[in-house]
Amino acid sequence: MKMFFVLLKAQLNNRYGITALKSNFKYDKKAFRKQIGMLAVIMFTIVYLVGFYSFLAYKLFAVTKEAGMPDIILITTVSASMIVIMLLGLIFILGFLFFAKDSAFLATLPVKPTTVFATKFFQIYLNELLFSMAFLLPTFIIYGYSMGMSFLYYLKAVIVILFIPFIPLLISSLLSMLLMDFVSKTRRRDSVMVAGGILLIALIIVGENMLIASVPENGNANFIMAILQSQTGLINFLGRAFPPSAWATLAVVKDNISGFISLLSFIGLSVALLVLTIPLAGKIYYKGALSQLETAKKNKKKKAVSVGKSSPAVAVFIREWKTILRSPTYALNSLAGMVMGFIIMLAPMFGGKQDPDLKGLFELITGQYSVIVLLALAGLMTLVGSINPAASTSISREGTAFWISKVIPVDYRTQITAKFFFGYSIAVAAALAVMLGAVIGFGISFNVVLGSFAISLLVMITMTAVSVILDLVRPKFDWNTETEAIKQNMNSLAAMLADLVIVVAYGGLTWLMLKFDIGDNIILIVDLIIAAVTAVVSYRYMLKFAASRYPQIE
Amino acid sequence: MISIENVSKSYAKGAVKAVDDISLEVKEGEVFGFIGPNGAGKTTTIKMITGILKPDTGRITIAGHDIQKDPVEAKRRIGFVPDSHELYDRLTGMEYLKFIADVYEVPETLRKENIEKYAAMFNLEGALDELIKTYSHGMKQKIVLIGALLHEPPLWILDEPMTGLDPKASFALKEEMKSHCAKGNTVFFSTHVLEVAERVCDRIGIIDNGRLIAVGTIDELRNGEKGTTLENIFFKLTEAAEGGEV
Repeated sequence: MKMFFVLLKAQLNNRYGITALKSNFKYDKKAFRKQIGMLAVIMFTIVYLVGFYSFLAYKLFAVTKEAGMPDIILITTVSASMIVIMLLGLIFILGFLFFAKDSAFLATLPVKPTTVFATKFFQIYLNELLFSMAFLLPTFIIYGYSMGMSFLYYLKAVIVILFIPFIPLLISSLLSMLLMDFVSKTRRRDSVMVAGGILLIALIIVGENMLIASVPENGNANFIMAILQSQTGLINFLGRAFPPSAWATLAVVKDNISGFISLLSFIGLSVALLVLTIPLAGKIYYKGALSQLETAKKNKKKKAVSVGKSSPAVAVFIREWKTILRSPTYALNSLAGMVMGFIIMLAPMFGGKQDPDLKGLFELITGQYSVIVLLALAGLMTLVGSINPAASTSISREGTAFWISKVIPVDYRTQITAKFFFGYSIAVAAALAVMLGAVIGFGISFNVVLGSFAISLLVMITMTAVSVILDLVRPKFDWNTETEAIKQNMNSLAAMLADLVIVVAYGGLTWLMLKFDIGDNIILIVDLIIAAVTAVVSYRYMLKFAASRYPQIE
Repeated sequence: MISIENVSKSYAKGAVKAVDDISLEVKEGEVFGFIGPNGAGKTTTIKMITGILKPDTGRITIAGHDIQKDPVEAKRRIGFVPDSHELYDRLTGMEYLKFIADVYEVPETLRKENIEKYAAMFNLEGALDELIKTYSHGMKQKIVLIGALLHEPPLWILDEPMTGLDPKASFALKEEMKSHCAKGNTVFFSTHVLEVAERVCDRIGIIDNGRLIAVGTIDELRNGEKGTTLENIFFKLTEAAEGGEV
């Protein structure tokens, strides 16, 4: 246990820059103030976002309470957070556990593999705990305060929140260890890893869709009545997306024996999974992690040298794509949105269309031409296309190999153009996936999806340019794992926020135009003109900025 | 070939002076050795020559092209091997070389010819289709070297090029350096191995605490003291510089 804390302390100090902060406090006050300033900006952004989220949650709670279903807010947020932790955890675990640069160093230490695994797992747990606290504390407090709950409720809420990340993260760990065990036996490990990771994510989402759609096809009305009349029916019904989330919610809201049993079941499953995972990690964790470090054999059979020729810009573009596709961490983070977007758009095929309440919505979407559907779909394509870290970490990902970009005789505008088109190509591919999903899943007409695609193509130029600019301002080269290069990179978070702001701005403008009864065609033309102008301006500014900023990056 | 005029560079907002007002001319056809203790400013100087770092003051030109004002033309003339081996780990050796050939716009026949020649010279032919992340330290050094020589640049800038090389590769590189300069080209390299510097270099520059404390041929540095090794000269000069006698 002592070794666990020694390792954990060293890794936390290194990862979160605690040692650097202490050293700067002593020797470099200016750098210390800068770090504290950055921390303050991050804290302010988090508080602002959590505040906004709490306001929305409160409004939603008021409505559901009025309808006699106050528990909805808890079960929805608990199950959503557990699903998100499981999906993102899978990507995080693969990168942090199996593709870290310190694996070789840790393997040489006289420390058991289970201890190394436990310290890494605990760091991911802390990360996800912060997420679940930000997501769940507001809803638990709103519920507890409004319903006049006792001290016991708050005590159980704290216990449940502390345990929330365990089950999804342990499931992800088991899946990723089994995947890595399989991958370590294959020749083309990285490609198998990328394909396996994407397949696992797709399976999880399909599984979720099927669980959610598991409503009896006949007697919907009776079924829903039965749910509402039962004390725990609604929670169990909504918790089916991730069954342990129903236990977590019941454990907190019910003061009776069923609540106690739910709490025991929830904690019991967490502990059981932990007991199963740790010994398994001892057996196969290093096998997977160290298979990534195997050295090439030399002096094998000579092969004929075959070297085609490309322009410098195309060479940089190809290098970016090869790097992304061969790094499981980069591929899963950059391409998962594409897969998720496509599968989520297929939701109606998993039973949603049979739901009488949703029938009207489908008729509205698939029916006659509507500018709202066209623009909403364009917004969705744009968001799914742009919310990935490919463009916003395009400089950071070079890490310590950035010297190559500085010494090659390719001017910085050309290099940044190649990086822009790389990020843009991923965004376009994701938008295409959503487009395909919209046609197959929702049956939206080709004319509408093509119109949406055209608008999203223009808006994504602006978003990609903004993402590249953000990474140029402050690239993060100092990373130990590829996961850190993208997931702990503030640039990707800032770019996602910027993307959200842009989509919300277009939404707001469209809403205003609709309110003033401006014709559909004029709304489309105005949106298109604004999208085209901002695309040109942002792209040109990106090139200009790259030319002045690149030489300063050291 | 290289002209360095009053170049200085500081870190930590001026708190650490890494390079202090250096001026130096490196001529065509010479092997120039750049030596100094750890942290003396060798790598910082090399990074400024190659355009990785921007000098705070002064000017550096490569074959008449200012590395800051006309970087693309200046860089075209350089083949650079850094002291670290940070590369694109997710590319194979061959893909890395193809990338380098593309960005330096090397004609197809020449790139094929040179890849085959240098891969054979450094005994790397069998590993070119493997990912760089699986390479050993020495193999990475070799692939960087091949990349630096691929476009036949008139100026080689090599920062600790022998580190990690096996004796055979190290010997081959020294021979290549000599033959490169015999054709009227230039090699600027830093090393800690003073015997190599003494044997290979036409002129040597010694840097200490960011200042160029001596430049000249071995004989000029000996200053008439016959039989003195470069090691003796190095210790004498660096210790004198620390004592403020320069």
